[in-house]
Amino acid sequence: MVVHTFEAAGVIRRRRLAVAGASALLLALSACGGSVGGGDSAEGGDEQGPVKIGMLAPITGPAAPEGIALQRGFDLAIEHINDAGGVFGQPVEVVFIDDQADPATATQAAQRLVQQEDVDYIFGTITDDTTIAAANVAEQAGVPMSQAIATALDFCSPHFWPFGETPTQLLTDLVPRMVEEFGPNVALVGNDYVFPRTYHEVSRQLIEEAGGTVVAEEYAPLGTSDWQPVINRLGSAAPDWILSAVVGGDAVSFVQQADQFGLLENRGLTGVSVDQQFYPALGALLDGRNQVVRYSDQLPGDVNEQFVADYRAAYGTEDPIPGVAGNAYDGMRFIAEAFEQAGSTDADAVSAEIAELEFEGLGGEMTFDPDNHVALAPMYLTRIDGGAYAIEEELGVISDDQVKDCG
Amino acid sequence: MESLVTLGLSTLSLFGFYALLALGMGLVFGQLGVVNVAHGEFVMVGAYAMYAFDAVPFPLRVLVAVVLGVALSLLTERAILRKLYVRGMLATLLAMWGLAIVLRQLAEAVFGATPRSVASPVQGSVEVLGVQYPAYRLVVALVSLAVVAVALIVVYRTSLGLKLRASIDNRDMAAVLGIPPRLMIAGTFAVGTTLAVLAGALQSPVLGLTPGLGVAFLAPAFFAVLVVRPGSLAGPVMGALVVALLSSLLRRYLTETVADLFFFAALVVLIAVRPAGLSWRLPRWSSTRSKQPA
Amino acid sequence: MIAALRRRVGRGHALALVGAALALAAAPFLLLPYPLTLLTLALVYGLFAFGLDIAWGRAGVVSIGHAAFFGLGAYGAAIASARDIPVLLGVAGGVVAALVLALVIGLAGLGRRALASTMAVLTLALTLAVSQGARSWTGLTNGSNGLVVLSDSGVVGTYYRTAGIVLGTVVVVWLIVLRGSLGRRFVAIRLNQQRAEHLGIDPWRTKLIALLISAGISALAGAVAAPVIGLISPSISGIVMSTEVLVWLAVGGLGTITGAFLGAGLVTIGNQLLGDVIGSWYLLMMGVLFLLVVRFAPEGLVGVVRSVIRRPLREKAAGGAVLAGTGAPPPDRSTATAGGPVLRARDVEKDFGPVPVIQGIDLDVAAGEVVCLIGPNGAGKTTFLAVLAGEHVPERGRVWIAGRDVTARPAHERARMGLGRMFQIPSVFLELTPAQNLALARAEGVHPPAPLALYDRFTSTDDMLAKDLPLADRRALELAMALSWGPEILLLDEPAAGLSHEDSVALARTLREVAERTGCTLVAVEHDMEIVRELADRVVVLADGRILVEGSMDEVSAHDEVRRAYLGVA
Repeated sequence: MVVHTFEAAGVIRRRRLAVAGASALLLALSACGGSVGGGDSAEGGDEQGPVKIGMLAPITGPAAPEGIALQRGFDLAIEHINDAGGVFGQPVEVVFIDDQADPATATQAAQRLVQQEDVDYIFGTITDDTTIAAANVAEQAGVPMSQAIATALDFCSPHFWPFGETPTQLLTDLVPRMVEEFGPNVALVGNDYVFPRTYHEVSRQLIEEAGGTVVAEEYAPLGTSDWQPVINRLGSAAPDWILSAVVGGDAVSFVQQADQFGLLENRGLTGVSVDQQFYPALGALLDGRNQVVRYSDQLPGDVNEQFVADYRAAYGTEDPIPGVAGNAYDGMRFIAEAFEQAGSTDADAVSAEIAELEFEGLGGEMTFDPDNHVALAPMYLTRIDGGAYAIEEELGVISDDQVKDCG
Repeated sequence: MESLVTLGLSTLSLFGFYALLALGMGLVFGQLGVVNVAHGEFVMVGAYAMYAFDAVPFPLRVLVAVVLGVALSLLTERAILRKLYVRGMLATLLAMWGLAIVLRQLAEAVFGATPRSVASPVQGSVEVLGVQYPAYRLVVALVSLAVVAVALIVVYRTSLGLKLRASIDNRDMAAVLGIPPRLMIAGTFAVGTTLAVLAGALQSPVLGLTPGLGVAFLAPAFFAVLVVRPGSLAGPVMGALVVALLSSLLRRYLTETVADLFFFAALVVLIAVRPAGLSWRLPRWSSTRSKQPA
Repeated sequence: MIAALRRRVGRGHALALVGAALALAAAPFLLLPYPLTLLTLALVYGLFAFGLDIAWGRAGVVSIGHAAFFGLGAYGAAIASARDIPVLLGVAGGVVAALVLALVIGLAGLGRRALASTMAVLTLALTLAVSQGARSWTGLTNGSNGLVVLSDSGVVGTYYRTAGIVLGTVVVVWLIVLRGSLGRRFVAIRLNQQRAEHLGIDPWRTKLIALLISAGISALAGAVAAPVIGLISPSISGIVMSTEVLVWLAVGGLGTITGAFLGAGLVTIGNQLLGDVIGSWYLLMMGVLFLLVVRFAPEGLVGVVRSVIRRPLREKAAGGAVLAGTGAPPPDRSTATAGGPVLRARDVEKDFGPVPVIQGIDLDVAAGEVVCLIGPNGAGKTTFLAVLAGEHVPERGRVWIAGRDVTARPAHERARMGLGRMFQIPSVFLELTPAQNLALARAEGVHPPAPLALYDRFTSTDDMLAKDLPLADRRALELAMALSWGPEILLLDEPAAGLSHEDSVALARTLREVAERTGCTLVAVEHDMEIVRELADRVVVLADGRILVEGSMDEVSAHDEVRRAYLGVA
């Protein structure tokens, strides 16, 4: 029910008063029309109405750090879009719901977005299970949807356009460089769920192509706090470098403990665990290491400078800006442009536009592969230096030829 | 040999941590009949206290965390638990569950959801029987076990401990003997939960700090308390040893996930075989058994 | 059949059922699609809470890992839908898996030697293991990405199907379980397990059945929830879900159907509402609200409402169970044997740790005989009685009832053979009214005699709880329960303690009269020599765990050693 409107001049988000929100929901619950026989008022006449975006992000629960970063990047995008006149000359409306990283909540939230709020597009969620849950609802209702965090989703549909980086994009250049710099023996480690396992399937292939060997591969459940056995096994395999897909608080525990056990001495470390959101906790342990990203706050260009300045001002943080925030910012602006180009909120028209659009994002031109819906944009090799993910080299667009059924 | 030493060391460091947790939880469970499902959140409070007072030297910071823990637990006991004891285990369990939510959300509101870390005060590693081991882990394990030992000595060798044990056995009787039960109860809860805060403070340099960090510690502490015959205060410590040994043994030879599954399965089997908990007085137990008619 | 239905279904119930059915049927005409899906979710969560309530609220079986069962049901439906197996088969598979796990957990955690906390550990381990298993067995469950369950019947269709199954399940379980003898036994073991056992109720079996029913309902709820939730992933059976259902029950009110659904509904819908209004602070608010409910409204919202509308005490006490029996004559379990002793003990020894309490007692009691055990404090009288009743397992020796060796038999089995029991501290259902106490005892009776006019004052006392009775009345109530339950043998531990002299003598006469009229065998521990004289056919004197002497009162009191050891005469 919270429809926060971003007015042209205002930078401040407005939430309706508690009482207003509550009474509005009561009204909606007891509205005269029911599910049975109630006429669908949304038919027809909304062709040039304001574009309404449903936003799902887990701002509470275990995925909250990423969820909050997603929300921040998204909010800034909406703000900038509306500052520049909105879409169809009207400010974009946003309905935000916290999905709590829980599939049941995400399903309910998505249903509310399509059934009650009648949104034109759904943006968001962090964890893959909630994304699939929401995307299924969106798909059934014929509402297009995008997510924005690195992902190994095998889900696709004609209206699903994920902005997240794929493992192939993240690893294709990183792996050979690491093999060259540190050596051929690689240890893989990750949390035990789908993304790390898919990530390492890709990395194993790339390591072998680069002439390297996987000497150890370890997975631990999410929420593991004691990494001694894993570190022991990794250590006894004597790798030259470690590719880690350990995430969340576990990433901090793992890297810290690996350092204390001497596992990181003279060894390379990269992977998801050295992402921007872990820098505040790991700091010096990450300095000097390499990472391939699509977004870094060190990217050149006025647009990024403005984004970084606004981000830091709005959220009062000096920490490295997480990649998901950059993706969300680019993604939402991409979508707004697609709406504008399509000239209507019709799902097929918007999706057709997204498939062809060439959009100038923070890091360069961004497009979609029309066949498997993989977002394509330049990737960058960075070296971490005192909190800055400094650009060392532009790697160009890395395509991903995975086969998905998006028809 | 080397792997045996490694196994021993990792068991030791787990044992130190779990013993502190289990002793605290066992005290609260034995004395008050409260299943403290917020125990892990007190660990989290201890860890975040170490993060928040970054400027204070490490040992002093541990002290600050402990003081904070005492204050928080006394407040909890006074404001929430005191009126709930009479309503039984379920009421207090649910209340502590509510407290856990509140503590987690407060931590998120104050410190944010981004993972944090605490710098270790002791760097480097030492060689133990030919194996390099992080010095800090050893120090923490030894400090934890020393605290546990002192606590047990207090319980079993002092008059305060006698009163405590008396009031665990029979609260009414203890009241007759002139032990103010209310003070005893508040004190036990404070000591029990502060042990968890202390454990969190000591472990903070090896943990990634997130508001949900404590959730993972509830199950092992709970198992440690209940796997051994309840009622004795040394029980939870023994339970912690069982849990630490089982966990590091399984994880030594199996992958982490499979080890987890086996860990739970082993617990179910253990409980099925010894539903009243493992007894550490096996000789007598078996002798009374043998007297039963065939 | 019709009569049985009448007994179980009151007019109020029928009205409530019709009202609920009408309200559920009308909802789609009043609610917009989204609120309707929310209501659908609230209904399945309510069914889940109702399932947990059968175990926790009704039978007092602790479970902090119930989402394991819910998740199994949900995965059953999800796997079936992912692999094009008939959904019903998948649901049945999930429910059966839940029942098997519940059986394993129940056999381990509800055994005689198990502690209350054992179930807590087991169920916690169960929920962790099931969710970890779902995460790891990716071939079956698709791991953390979960399985999509599409609903093909639309919002309204899904709603009606869900509401139908939920309502049907609740009505069936309510009618057959809660209003039947099981419901009565749940009340009995929850309120006073000791008394329940001596009324012949098997507490472990009853609890196990409660756990099985509870697990089955929870799994069914999970299966119905699958298409509503849309995506089944390991968190469905995890610790968060397990504790959430506890929260629903606690907020709504334990031990009531309304409470389960109210709690689940309010929290599910309130979650959305609060989330809208106060953003990310709502979890903190939920925590605080929850603390306030637990702290200030221990019986949940239903409790709050009840304290306002003031229902009769007896309705609240019974918690919806029918405490009276069918009135039909129970199967004859007469233990009477031709000739031989009805109760027999040989060479019984019992130690408490290193302290020997009973050191070899032989005793035969003939049918219809009244035996009094006397002896100084510490002689082992009460312990011996407890060994006969099956509360203590003797270290050595054997006990027979009606010629059957019962040494290894638990108390409730001995009770089923007609062994009644009265305690030194009266053991009645304190939270029930005296009339309900009597009704329950008669309903569980071995062969209850015609009601004794003597107890009319209890059968008519239905507006106060037994815990508010004075001690003497409570003792009389216990006796009334024991006698109207219809024992063959009655063990009494100091029946006259705390009574005035006149009352004691009157009691002794009553007992004597009952014994003569019904042929009931009495074994009593008693201190008051006047009562012993009034009552006993035979007196057995115990000292230091052995029989010192036995015989008539006159014979015994003439005995030198008795005078020395017991009567204190030099």
